[in-house]
Order: sequence, then C-alpha cells, then structure tokens
Amino acid sequence: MSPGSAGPRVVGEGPPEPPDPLEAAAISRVQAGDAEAFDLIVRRYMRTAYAVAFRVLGHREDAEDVVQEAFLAALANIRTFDTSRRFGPWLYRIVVTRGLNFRKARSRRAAEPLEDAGVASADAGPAAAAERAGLKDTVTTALGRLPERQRMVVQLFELDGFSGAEIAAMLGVSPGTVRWYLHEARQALRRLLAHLQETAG
Amino acid sequence: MNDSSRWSLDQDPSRDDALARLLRAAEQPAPGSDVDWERLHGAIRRGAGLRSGSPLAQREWWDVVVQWRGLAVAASVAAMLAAAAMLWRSDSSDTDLALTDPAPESAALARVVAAYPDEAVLTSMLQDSRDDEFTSWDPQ
Repeated sequence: MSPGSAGPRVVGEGPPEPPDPLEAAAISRVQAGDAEAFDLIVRRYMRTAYAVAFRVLGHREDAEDVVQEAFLAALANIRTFDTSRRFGPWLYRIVVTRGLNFRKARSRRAAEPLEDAGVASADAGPAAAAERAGLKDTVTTALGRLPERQRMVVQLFELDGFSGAEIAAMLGVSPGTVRWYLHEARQALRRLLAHLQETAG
Repeated sequence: MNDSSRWSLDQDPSRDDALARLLRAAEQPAPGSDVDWERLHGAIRRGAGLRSGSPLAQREWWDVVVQWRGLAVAASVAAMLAAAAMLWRSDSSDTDLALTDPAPESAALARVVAAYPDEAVLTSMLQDSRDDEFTSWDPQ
C-alpha cells in the first residue's frame, strides 16, 4: 500500500502481503520492550494513521487524539500481535474503531459538520478564491449526503490510495462490500457533481 | 469522471482521476499539511511513558503468569497423573500383601497347631481363644 500514490491499480483477492522483514524485526523488538523500535514504528505509520483518522472524523484535533490513542492501544496489545502479518492494517483497524467510537461520543455531545479544512488562498485573487470556496461547498455538501461508510470508502480509495482489500480490513467488512460502497458513492457523486465535471476536467 | 456504472465483486475498479482531482481540489490544504508532526510524535511518546533509551513498560507480575501458564498447566497435569499412579500402585501392593502373606497371628497359630497334630484340645482352645467375647460366668 502506498497511500497518496494516485496511479490506477487493480487489486484482486489473494493472500495478505507478507510484512517487510525490517518492520517485523522492529515489531519483535517492541515486543521485547525496545523503546527506540517503537519510535521507528510511530514515525513510519503516524502520517497514514492520521489520514485514516481524518477520513473517519473530518476534524484535525480529534484525528490527532485518535491517532495517539490508537498507538497507545497498539503498544498495550503489542505482545498479541502476530509478526508474520503486516502491522499497518492492524493499526488502521484500531484507528477506525477508535475513530468511530470517538465520533459516536462526539455526536452525542453535539452534531458537528465535517471540519472546514480548506482555506481559499488570498494570493489567488478574490474571483479564484470565491470559485474555490464554491467548489469546496458543493463537494463538501455532496460528500455529506453520502452514507458515512460510502464517504469514507471513496475518500480512502480515491484520495489516500488504499486498495479495496485494505479498506475492507480497516472497516471489518468484505472487499466486495467495499467495492459496492465505492460504486454507490461514485454514482452518487457523479450525479451530484455532474455540473462541475467540465470545470474540474 | 470514469464510467462507474459497472462494478466487480472480485476486483477493485480503476481509480477515477477526475473525481480524485475534484475531491482533492475541494479539500485544500490537504489534510495533515497543517499538523505539527513532531508535537504529535512527542505526545505519543509521552503517552507511552517513553524517554530516550528507556525500556517500554516494565513487566507486571501477570505478564510472568501469562508467560508460564502453559508450562504450569502441563506440570500440574503431570503431577496429578504421577500422584494417581502412585496411589494405584500402593493400593495394589496392599492387596498383594493381603493375598500372599497370611496375617502374622494366623501364621503363628498355624505353626503351633502343626507342631502338635494330635492335640485336638489344644487346637480347639487356640481357635476358640480367637473369639474375644466376654461371657458372664454362670456356674449353672
């Protein structure tokens, strides 16, 4: 997996990828109590874990809190981790679970829309800034109309570069279900954003 | 945007670059671009109670229990089997002793009786003497 790489990729079902030997060695050292190895693991996975948390929560500070919690939970349970497997999917599953719980607790406190993460650049001029703000509003509204899982799936797949199988492992559903969510989300966004298609293309 | 009217259960579709561009354009700046990674990293380290060069969390007593539980169960089962075997052997030894060796008292009596084969009275007395009943003396 290489989140951020946007190249088209077709991924079928198959056995899970074996872990990187260096990563497996680092995890074994963490299991033996090596703090420096834990540091390496944190540095390696922190940014991707944050991307996943942000897709679940849509809020920067909450995503940071969940990433922190997820790493501590992973550390607390590191002795149960099977080093013949990849660490990333295990960590991202923790991130998603904690993120969904966090989101549920937050929605009990107050219903909040997804964070307004974008700030129009002042350098681009008022017209461009207004256009960008309009685009942002339209897309954010369209994403907000999607069921939560469809929104997460389409963002994780199209923007973060995860495969269907990887997203399935995070969400605890089958890859086929993820592909169906993706199909539905694409159809809905295509309908809702049809008028932007030409300007974006 | 790509034609997304078809989907496969078995394979991921191709990425929709046009949709990705649209979504990406709407979320500028990109998520994470405004995160202070060093601060987040430091927070995780502090949460884990780490200092440079320090070991991770000290082992607790239950970690030792968990580590040795398999061996402890095996040793307990082995000890129980050994105890059961010893008990069974001691029971059968007692039985063998009872079957093969007459009681010491019976053996002594048998030797005395054998030494005086013609003494019917003695034999009778010895056998009667094994009745440990006290009876009242009644001269009539």
